Amino acid sequence: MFRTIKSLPPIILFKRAFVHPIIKADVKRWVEILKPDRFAKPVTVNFVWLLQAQPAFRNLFYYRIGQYSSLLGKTMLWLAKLLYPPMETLGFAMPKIGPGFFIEYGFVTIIGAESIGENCWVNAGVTIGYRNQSGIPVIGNNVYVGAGAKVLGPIHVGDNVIIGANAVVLRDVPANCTVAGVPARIIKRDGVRVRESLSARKAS
Amino acid sequence: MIIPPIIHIVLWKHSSARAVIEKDVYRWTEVVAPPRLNLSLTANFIWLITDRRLMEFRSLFYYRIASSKKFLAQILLPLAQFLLKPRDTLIIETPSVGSGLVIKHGANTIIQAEKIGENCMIFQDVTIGYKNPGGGLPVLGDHVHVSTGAKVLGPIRIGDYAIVAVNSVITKDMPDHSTGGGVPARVILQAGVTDI
Repeated sequence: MFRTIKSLPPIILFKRAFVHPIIKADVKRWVEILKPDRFAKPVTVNFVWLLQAQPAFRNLFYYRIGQYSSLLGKTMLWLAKLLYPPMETLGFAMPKIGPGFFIEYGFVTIIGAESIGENCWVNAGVTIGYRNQSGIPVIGNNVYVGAGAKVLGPIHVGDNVIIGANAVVLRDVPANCTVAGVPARIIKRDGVRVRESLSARKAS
Repeated sequence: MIIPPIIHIVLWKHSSARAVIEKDVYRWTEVVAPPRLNLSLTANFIWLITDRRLMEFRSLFYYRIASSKKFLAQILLPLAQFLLKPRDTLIIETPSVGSGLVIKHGANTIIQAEKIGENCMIFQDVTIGYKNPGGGLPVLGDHVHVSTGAKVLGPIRIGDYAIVAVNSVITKDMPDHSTGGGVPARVILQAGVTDI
């Protein structure tokens, strides 16, 4: 009963949001990863469960719905943020993020990409952002960023890329590769073990 | 300010993990403030549980209480957690943790091992978990030292007295008495002999 009342402001925001389908895709992906046995339940029920259990999801939700100009919207957002406070150490800086974006735990995670594709996965301790204030990365679809990895500068990361834990990626990454190390090298290309350095020229 | 430690002391003395928590208190005192070792265990426990700079001890304590299946513990635990908040950036999801685990500065620390031995030491920014989503988890031996920023990933075994160096990524087994470092890590010291 108390939980139902408590979750009313975010549910109203969720149902009336302009980006409703995108948040719906997010909810489905988070539930698929965290608790697949809950997948059959209605999206709104899973949405409330995610708000309750996953503070990182709150940040993603507030980032998705953005700002409100109307008084009602502002009040609802204020209430939602009061009842479900977002994480302090997880920050989004002006990115465009595709649907199905998953953040694992989200401690000390800073996501400042120019754009991020669909179904990406970001672990804890990741920084995506500026290198000497030169520009920010563009990230493709289905990219997995391992714990503690740093992706910096005006680079392009292709589709289906896996970035290993603690890697520092400063150059373009072609599609379907696994990169790891400091600075990052390609250790797997199309499922075959290789050992190549990343080229300085544009991969696209 | 008197009430919270009383609840915690009741939880401690009542729980089935009482002896393990006693060892934890002794080890934390030994590491954090050795001059306090001549005080009683209860005094040191009160100091550890109320000191705001040592919120990692609270997380560990609540983890121990939650894994003991007593009725009183299940009722009092939410109240205890409300009165003295645990570290919110520290996650311990491990079936069995040996006594005397010390977690220093538990900022961004995720401990998802299969098993952790006795008297281990884990620093900040560490991730112990799976390599691929849904994959196997690591097993840590006794007296393992996991330094700042290290990532220990996959179904591997870290031997007793092993040292994981700063910011290294461990994805392969490490033998006893070895030191591993680098990305990806290799064994750089084996029982005191340099092996490069």
